[in-house]
Amino acid sequence: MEELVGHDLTLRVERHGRHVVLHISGSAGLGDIDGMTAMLRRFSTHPDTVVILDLHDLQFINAEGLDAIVAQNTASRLLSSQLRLVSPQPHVRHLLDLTRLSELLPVYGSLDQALTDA
Amino acid sequence: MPRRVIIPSDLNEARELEEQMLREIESEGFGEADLFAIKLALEEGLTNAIKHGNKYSTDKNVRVEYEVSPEEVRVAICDQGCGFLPESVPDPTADENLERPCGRGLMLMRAYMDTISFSECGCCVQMSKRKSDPE
Repeated sequence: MEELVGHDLTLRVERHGRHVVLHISGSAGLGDIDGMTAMLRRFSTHPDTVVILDLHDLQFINAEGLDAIVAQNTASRLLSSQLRLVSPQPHVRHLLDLTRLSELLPVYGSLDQALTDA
Repeated sequence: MPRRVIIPSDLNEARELEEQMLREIESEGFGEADLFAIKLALEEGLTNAIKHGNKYSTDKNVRVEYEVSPEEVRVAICDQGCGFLPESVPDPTADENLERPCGRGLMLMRAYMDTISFSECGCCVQMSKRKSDPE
């Protein structure tokens, strides 16, 4: 199991066939975004992959973190891959709605839904 | 009396200052939603000052003045860069900008704080937030 541990942020990677699940927990803020961006970029180079960001344990994300997700989404689409978001907490969900990123990216209520959706 | 802190153009120093400020704000009874909002605005202000203002220059500092009371938080963040025109930043929620991987920080500061203003040169941002009613 791959894992990245930052100051306040942990990313844990799980693979389910063509699905890659990144469990992101803690706070994606100052000093931790570069590590998160690098981890996300690693999976934007794999074609035909579904990358799922599990946000259930993410308590905070700043604008740079949102930008990293947007960049990952664009890179994924160019390689016929997909990016899916799962279970954001209310404060993070509000951010996604306010920035309209919840219109740009599919947001699922559970990991099972994100894994089984065609 | 406002506190005045000067830090180098270093995101780790900014994070330590932010943590100290948030502890003070929490000790004044600000709730979870207010803390989230203030943390978000602080991160954007400090990141903008270090990254876009000072361009990580070790020769330049960031000056932060803040005042925390039981009713309100007031913060000013100033860099030593060339400034910018806030009105020139495109709306990141416009259809044509949704996929741009930048430009959301300013919009979020405006959305989450009660007041926000910039100095004429664009090198200083002042913002404030009143304590919300209990959730």
